[in-house]
Amino acid sequence: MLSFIRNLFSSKNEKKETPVTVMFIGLDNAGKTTMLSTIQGETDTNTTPTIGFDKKRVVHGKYNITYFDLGGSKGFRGIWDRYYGSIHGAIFVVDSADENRLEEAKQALFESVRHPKFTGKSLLILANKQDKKESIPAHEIAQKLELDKLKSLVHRYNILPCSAIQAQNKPQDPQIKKGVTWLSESIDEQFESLNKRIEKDMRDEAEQAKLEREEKRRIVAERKAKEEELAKAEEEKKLKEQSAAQSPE
Amino acid sequence: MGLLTLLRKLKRSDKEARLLILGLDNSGKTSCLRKLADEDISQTTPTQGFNIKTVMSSGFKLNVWDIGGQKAIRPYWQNYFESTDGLVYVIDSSDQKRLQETSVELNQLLEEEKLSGVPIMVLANKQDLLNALSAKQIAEELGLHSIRDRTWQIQACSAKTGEGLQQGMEWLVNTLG
Repeated sequence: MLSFIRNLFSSKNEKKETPVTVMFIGLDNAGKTTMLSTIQGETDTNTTPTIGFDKKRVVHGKYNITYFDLGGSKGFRGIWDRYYGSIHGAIFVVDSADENRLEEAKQALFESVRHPKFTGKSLLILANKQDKKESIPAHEIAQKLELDKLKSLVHRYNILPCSAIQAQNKPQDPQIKKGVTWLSESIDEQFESLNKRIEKDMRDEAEQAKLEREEKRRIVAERKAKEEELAKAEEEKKLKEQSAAQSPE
Repeated sequence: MGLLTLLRKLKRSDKEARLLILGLDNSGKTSCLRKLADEDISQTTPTQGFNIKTVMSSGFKLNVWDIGGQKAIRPYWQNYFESTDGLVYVIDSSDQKRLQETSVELNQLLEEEKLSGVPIMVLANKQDLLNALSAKQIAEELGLHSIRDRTWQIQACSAKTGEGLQQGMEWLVNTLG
């Protein structure tokens, strides 16, 4: 009887999805936010440029994937690396119809994967906007981005052509789902070691953030004390002057 | 247009949200609010209590609460936290000396139970001033990257020229909608 109950519980536990964190990167206007809403099964594609952070949780097979969506504008990319420590893998979205910015995309991509907290993780590249006439096929994008150089930098990488904007009443582009499946499987291959690495990095980051917060609090408190001291001195000076004026010499 | 989108759009038109504007004194909270409501901002004086205005944005009725930011009255902020749908946090981007102070205040707000999960729009205000820091610099200084429990966005803006304010509100409305 007892073992039956235990089995019941363990099977329940087995059913629970594995939590995984994946981050979207890519230039501004590549379609990261639209891609995320498509993955969520939404059709509302009226997004404003992201200059911040959003996260969405989507269950995919046995994985419960938390997606980080961050802005891709030039001024904002510097903040990406603050998130690398907590991710299992990343999705790089590239606008296949914007040939002029492929060089910039390549640079952003390699800057990311070369970051010590990123290197060795898995990367899915989605050659987005294939619905556009002027779009370049995925294999050409792969050449232009020099993806073969990724081999030594990531655990696995893959590029798939897709279109996040689905025509209304049409099913979602199957390539996206295929990509997510591929990514979660690659993550699964190194799951144990990845988790250990993430745990350590996140612990370090939390520690760092705590220190920074304490330092700020200390500075503000110090400044306040100084101001109060000054005000007090001022007050005393005034009182002294007053009493000096009142008492005749 | 699919039936679902149509329904969603219809539903949207009678949507209402409660927004809270906070930030240090002199960051420009009241000016931002007045500018959004198309009012004159030249006569703005420090807010002693609070202002409420209803602003329409993308079919959303926004009830915006602007609370005074002076140090002595900051403890009263918590009286306004209840049932807040979105937080607008205003920063004087030209006042580098007080960035730490505003950062400490923001961190405290982030720990408030009643505001947990509430989306945050950080307005990097006073971009019309020459010495204003960029939105990215402000994001770094405030350590916004450590906010992981909710969605946030930073928008460079100027209550004086009105630049950026509408975009900021649109994002909030999109997020709430």
